[in-house]
Amino acid sequence: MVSLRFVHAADLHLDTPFEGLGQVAPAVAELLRDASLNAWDRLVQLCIDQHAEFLILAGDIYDGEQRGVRAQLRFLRGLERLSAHRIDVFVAHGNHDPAAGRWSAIREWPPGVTVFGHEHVESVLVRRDDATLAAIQGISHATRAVSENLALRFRRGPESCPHLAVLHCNADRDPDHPLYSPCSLDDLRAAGMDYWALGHIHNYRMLSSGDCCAVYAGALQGRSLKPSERGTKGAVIGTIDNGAVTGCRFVPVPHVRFVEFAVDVADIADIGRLVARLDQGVDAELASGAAAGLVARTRLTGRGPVYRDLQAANAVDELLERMREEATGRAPFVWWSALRNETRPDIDRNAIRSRGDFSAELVRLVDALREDEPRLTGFVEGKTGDLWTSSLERASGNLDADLRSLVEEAEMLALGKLEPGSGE
Amino acid sequence: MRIRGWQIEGFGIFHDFHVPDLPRGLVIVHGPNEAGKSTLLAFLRGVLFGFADRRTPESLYPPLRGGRHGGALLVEGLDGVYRVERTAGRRVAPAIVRPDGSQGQPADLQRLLGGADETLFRSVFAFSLDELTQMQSLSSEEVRGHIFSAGIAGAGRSARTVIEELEREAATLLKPRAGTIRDLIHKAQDLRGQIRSATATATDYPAVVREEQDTLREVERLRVCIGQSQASLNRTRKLIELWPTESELQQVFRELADLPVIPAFRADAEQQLATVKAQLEAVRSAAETATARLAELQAQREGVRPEARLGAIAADVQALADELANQRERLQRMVGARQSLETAGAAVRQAFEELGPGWTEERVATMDVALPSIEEVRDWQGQLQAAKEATAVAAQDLRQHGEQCSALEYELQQVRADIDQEPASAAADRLDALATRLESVGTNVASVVGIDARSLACASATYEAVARLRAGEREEERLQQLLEATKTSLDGIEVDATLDPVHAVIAAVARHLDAQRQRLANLDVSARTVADQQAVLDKALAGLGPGWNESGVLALRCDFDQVRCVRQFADDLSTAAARSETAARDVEAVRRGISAREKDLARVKDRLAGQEPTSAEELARKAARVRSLRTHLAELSELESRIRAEETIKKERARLGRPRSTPVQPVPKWLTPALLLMALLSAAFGAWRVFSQQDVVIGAVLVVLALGLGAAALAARVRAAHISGDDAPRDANVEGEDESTIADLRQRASETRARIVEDTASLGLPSLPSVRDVDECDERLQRERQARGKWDDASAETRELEHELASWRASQEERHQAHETCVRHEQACLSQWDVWKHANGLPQVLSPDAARDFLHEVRTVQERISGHNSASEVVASLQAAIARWEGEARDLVRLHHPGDDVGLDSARLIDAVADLQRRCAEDAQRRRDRARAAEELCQRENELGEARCARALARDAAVGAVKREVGRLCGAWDRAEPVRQQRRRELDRAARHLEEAQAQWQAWQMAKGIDRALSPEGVLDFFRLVLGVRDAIRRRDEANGVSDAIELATRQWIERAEAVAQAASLAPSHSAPDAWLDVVRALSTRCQADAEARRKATALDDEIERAVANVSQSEERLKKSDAEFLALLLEIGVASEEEFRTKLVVSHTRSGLEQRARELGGRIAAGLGRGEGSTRLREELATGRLSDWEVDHAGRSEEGARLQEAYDQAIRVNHDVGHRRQALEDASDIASLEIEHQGVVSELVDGVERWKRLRVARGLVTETLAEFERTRQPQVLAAASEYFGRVTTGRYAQILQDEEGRDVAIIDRLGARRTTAELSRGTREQLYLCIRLGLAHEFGRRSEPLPLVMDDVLVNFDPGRAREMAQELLEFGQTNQVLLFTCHPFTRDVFRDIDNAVPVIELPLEDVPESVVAGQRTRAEVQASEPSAHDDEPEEVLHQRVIAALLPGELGMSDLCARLGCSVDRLRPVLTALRESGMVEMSGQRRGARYRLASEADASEA
Repeated sequence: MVSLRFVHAADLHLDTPFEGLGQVAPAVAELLRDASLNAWDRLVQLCIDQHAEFLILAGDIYDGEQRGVRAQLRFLRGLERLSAHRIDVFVAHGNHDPAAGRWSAIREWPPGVTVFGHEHVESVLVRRDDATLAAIQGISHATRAVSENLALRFRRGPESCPHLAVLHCNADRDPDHPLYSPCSLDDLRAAGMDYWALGHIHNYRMLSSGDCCAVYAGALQGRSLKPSERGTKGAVIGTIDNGAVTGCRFVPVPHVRFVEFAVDVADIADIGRLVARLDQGVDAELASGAAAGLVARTRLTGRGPVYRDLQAANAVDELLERMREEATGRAPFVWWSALRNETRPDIDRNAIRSRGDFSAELVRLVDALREDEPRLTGFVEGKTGDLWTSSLERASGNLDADLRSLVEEAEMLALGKLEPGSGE
Repeated sequence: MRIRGWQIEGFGIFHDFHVPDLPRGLVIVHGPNEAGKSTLLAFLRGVLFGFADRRTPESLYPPLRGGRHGGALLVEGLDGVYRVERTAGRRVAPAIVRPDGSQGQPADLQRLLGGADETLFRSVFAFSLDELTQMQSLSSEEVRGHIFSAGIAGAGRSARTVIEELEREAATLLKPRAGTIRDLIHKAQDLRGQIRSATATATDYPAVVREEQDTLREVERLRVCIGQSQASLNRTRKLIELWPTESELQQVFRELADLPVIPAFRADAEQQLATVKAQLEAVRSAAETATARLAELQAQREGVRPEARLGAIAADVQALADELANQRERLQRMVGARQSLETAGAAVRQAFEELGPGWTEERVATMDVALPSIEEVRDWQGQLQAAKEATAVAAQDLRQHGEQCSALEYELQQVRADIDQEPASAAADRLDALATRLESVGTNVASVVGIDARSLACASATYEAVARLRAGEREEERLQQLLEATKTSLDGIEVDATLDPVHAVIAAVARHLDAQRQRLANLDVSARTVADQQAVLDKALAGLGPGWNESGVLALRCDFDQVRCVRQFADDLSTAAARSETAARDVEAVRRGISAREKDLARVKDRLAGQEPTSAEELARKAARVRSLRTHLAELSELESRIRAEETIKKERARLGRPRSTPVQPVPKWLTPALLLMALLSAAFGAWRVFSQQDVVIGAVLVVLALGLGAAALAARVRAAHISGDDAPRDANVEGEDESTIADLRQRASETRARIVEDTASLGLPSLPSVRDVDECDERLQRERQARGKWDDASAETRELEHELASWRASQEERHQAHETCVRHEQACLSQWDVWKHANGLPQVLSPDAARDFLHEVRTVQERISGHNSASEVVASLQAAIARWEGEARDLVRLHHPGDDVGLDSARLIDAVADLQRRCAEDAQRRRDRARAAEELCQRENELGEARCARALARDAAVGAVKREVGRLCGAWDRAEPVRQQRRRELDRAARHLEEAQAQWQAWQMAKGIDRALSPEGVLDFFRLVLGVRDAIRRRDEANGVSDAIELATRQWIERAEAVAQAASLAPSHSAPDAWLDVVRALSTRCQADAEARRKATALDDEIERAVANVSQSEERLKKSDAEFLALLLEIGVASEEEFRTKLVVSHTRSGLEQRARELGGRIAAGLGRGEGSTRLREELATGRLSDWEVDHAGRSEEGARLQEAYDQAIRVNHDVGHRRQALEDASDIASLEIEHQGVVSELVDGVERWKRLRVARGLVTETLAEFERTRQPQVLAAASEYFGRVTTGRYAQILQDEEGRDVAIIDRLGARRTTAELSRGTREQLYLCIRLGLAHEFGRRSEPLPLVMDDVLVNFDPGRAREMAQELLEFGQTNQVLLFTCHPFTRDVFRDIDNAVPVIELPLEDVPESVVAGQRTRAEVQASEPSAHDDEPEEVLHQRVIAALLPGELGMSDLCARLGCSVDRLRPVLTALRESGMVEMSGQRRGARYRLASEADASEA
């Protein structure tokens, strides 16, 4: 009997834009622009190196049809490479690249590439030398928002070989992701497939193992600093021995990694030591796994003597600029996306409230606002009313924030300036 | 909170300092400077809030007397006494023990302190004078920040500064028309537009790809056309280019036919003949030259004959000749050596004569004149000289001492007489003059008796006593003047008795005078405000619409939930409308899409209308036929060309064929080798016979025979070669082959024609088409193929469009349904909105947006109603307060003028009270001034009496000091005689020492055997003579040795010369040593000439031998060259050289023409190339139609240029389209723009969040400030105003915040407004102190009262205000604990005058051992080392002050400097003088030195 490997990947989001990074240096922007495409190239190389029999792509190949033809052609080049190495590719479209989209750049697929349609579940046999290695079923999303439970359409075929299924769906209704093609784990098990190659969730996740293995391979390249986009990304390598899926393992694919970590400034005396601590943080992130680059965002938290230094005008911006300069020339590249100064002045609200001074009055005012929501809303709207209905909201998206948090942060800001021992 | 006591373990100068139970209320801590008051203040603050560390600029107060650095405070709270203990160190937390003994937490301390932090405590509750005056040095804004904005905390910065900062930061982010946020918004919108544009461009990709493929096909078509045109053009061009060559070739053929045919010549025959001839001539010339050279050499050899006898001695002669220069030098040096020897002998003799008779060389050699002996003599010389000088000095001292004693004895007697005559009432000036004389006499006495003048210090004590007397006189005079002035002042002060009953109550009424004024002013303002608000409110109610009143507005809900509901309705309605609109647009878009595709489909079907083009298979078959036809035509053309060429060759061959010549008998091939074999055998046999000498003649004949056979073989070889190189006739069958070839070619041509006919029949062409026919057919086929391709594309497009149309129509129905759903949803939202409005009482006509505005307006109206009600309440409260005060004021006026106040209105009442207040204040001031003047008069009288007593005591002390000085000088004078006796003894001792030294010197001379009459200098000269003699003897011996060595070498050389001369039979001309020099020189010359002759003879012999061999070789080569020349002519086959030249010319001409013909033929073949086409071209070229070719060439060129231009254009178009496609494929601008857009959006979000934080923070501070100033400031300032008014006894009535809220202003009793800058320093300090009292009072009202700790803050107050402030502090001490530190007894006494029971803690002055602080500079030390203002006071005054400072006990230098306010440099000589005078004693050394008064008696005198 034969023994073979296959690779399962999903959510390539080729040519994806990156969100929430702020303005980046031109050189870094160029690296980020090509990051998803380079990750795809590395995936292709991984398939070749692993001598995989076939590659399954479970949707969201492209980030959107408006991204131009560059991503499609880069995808085509990779498929051609795989075809030259006799590695079959099975593609199902997802919500970002529905089958009805205008994917005009590719007129003809290379040999060995199967793109599943969206009308019904298609089944393709993988054959080598007159032997059937596996049967692969799949269906694409017809449109961007598919509310139908597509998993219910899958049924195991009569062939006596491993049955694999490809689907872009939200299994178990993950609240952090759009509810497209919602299904449950029971729906997947009911189909009788040996392996579900799933896409849509951007972190590697094994929903079930054993007879019915259901796996989210996760994205191939993170797109922002959101929790689901951070961390190690890669693909799943499955093995088929003696006509059964015997295992699968996650393999990282080097990519531009998005990380966020916090630095507590409690024991940091000055900016110089803070820089050293930040460097240590990045080094630790780099040491945690291979990466083609690192985009880091750091939250400075806690209370410490360096708070005063950070309160100086442009201090955080200058620190960020300094970190970026020091990271110049590193390999792999490191880009400091942001430093969020969440340090707090050495202020004890209770102690201040017990005083009879100005700061105590301010603290009492904040307490009163927190307990009276209409008053809080009126207060905040009164202070920021110009902005509330301006074009700003349209340009920057939803700006509705937690008003209590806003007032608390503003309180700290005011106290930091009013209390000389704690702030400026 | 109250401080119950402290336990200082080690802090500054304090060590184990315990105060267990402090009294309540005000406590004075009194002590002199450096007693530790500031240290105690630092300790109190340090225990409560942490000690200073090295990062702070404050002093660390290390424990100078030991002990652990820190201590504990006992703090009394509401629940008992806490113990707060803290050790100095970096942020060490305090150890807190609760009243029940349990361990406390920092929160306990915070609670005890009422939440006050360190800065607040420092600013308001515990401060020194410096810190109090820091308020003055701060800017006005800072002052205001302390007092008002964050004033009660005391620590904060100005709230308005914070507001401005926040506003400034927010403004950088967002302004009405600028700011970072607006820039980012614009940038984001711009980027969004760019992304849309780039996305739209990307959708054109398929069209671009199709366009690129079309242009590529066009390029290919043009390329083919150009290739064909170029081929035709090349053909005509070749014909035109090759025609000159062809013409020349034909001419060459004609010339060749005209030349005779001769046998072939060897190509190198001419060259070989010339070579052989040149060799022959060269060999002959060389033989003649060799013979002539041999004869010349033989003649030269005859002239050369060497001398055989000189050869044996040549080496010895050469050795002697080499030493000639040395021998000549030796002879010259021998003369000089003899002269030196004589000179040295004479010097030795002269030296002995100088030494004297009796001296021999042996005695000189044994004499000891070594360096040790010389050094001994020099020691003796020094000792004797020192002894003589000491004796002379002692004699001089004795003489001078006698003279001084006489003069001083007289002066001392004069001074004693003067002091004895001095009256008892002598003034300070007289005593000063006596002191001056005593100082002069004392200095001289010290010199005479041999002691240090400073140790005697005769006049210093007198000077000090006189200075004290003079100071007492001046003080008495000053006090007398003060007494008179005080009496005058007292008489001038009068008081108003009518105000006596008013004084008791005026303060209570006047205290609120300004408040009343303010209330009246506020009442007017408030009333106007109420009216204005009512008008605005009415207008606002009208603006809401008809039917709205206050109750209706207040009943309407407009809270956040309402607004949120409205917003939600607005969003829902907006979303529903947008969805409906989108759905409608989708329906319209689908309809347009269907219409567009239907049009496209119709258009494509139009393209399909008409007859279907030829099928692709038929077109492919025809194309194959065309290709076959082209091949066959080319093949036929090639075959015909070849047939024509063969026929031409055949004709040419026939025309150029040579006439047949006479047949020649060929030479057998075996003949030459046979002849050569025979020649070799004959030569070998003959040579064997000759060398074996058996039969020389036969051998010679055989050799000759061999030579002949060799020549015959050579001739046979030449003949055979000649015959084989001849232009023999071709083989007979060549002509037959030509015929066969032509026939074969014709056969193949006919077959090819048959195939052509077959192809043309199927293509519809003539049976034998031209190339143009074939090209036209090809083009026709190409057009048919294109038509077929278009037909196929249109068919595929039709199918695709039909498919799309079907899907669009299916989609149209879905969109319709979606649109209807959206419309229904929108209508449902509108219905819900109407229901909600009705339920909440809103007008039904309002849209959600309008409703939100309406709610905003309602809320505004509600706030205005609330504000109006509040203002009305304020007016009522103001009116009540005004009425209360006016009642009190009328009572006051009646008290002063009964029945005079009934008609007073509010303004006049205020004026009357203010006038009374002013008059009372002035009267009170006068009463206080009068009391103060009386008190001062008594004090002045007491002081004057004390001064008079002090002056009498000082005079007695001065006279006594003078007498004591005289007595001390007389006592010192008694020591003069012992000094004289001592000097006499010293003179005798020096004389004895001189005699002893001279005796020891003579004994040494005897021991060394030296004449005793010699002095040390004479002995040193004698030693130098002996050393001179020794040196002369040494030089003589050296000269003798040199002379002997030269003489021996000269003699040995002459002996060797004699032996050589004898062998050569030569003799010198004379017997002198230098005659042998000439002999040797002559012999050397002869030997050199003989050696040269020998070398020349040998060389000539060798050259003659070589010349003989050369002549033999030349003769042999000459014979050989002759034989080669003959053999060459024979080989060429000519008899003579002339015949050879004639044949050679003909041969060269033919070869040239044939070579030219081959070249031309090759050039034509190269130009035409290979293949069938070239054959046809060759035939065409042979026709010579040059004009036709040129016309055709011009036409083809024009066509090619036209095609090339079209081709280039097509290439450009294709490249452009390719670039567009490549740009679309590589386009990363969308990704880049997306990244940039996301970056901008991210920054925008951050910026907005930051802006909102700043705005909200600003709002918080603003609202708090408004509330704070509204509720707090009047109370703080009112309390401070009361304090300040009482302290300044009514001079200043009120403290106000200025208009801008940035500073304080002061209203004086006349109502004038003053700023702090207009106040004097003392008044400002009083103001700041009063503000602190106000702040402390306010703090205590809201929280736990904290103790007030002040360090000497009253020093700049005049006595009156100091007393008033003391009164206030004593009253303040009733509620708050007050600790007042002071070093001034006056301050302490002020409090005690008011209240005798005020507790006072006296801090003793305990100096710190200097050793403890070694290496540290205390503040006192630093001050002591620096110049002071007291440094320029008279020295006698300083003496007096030093004694006064030492009266309590001993002090160190630094403490004295600190107390007296002068520098160490100034004080040190004063202390030295006092010590020398015996008034002050010192204990300890250096930095640990301490000073005290010498004795009780001296102290009492001082």
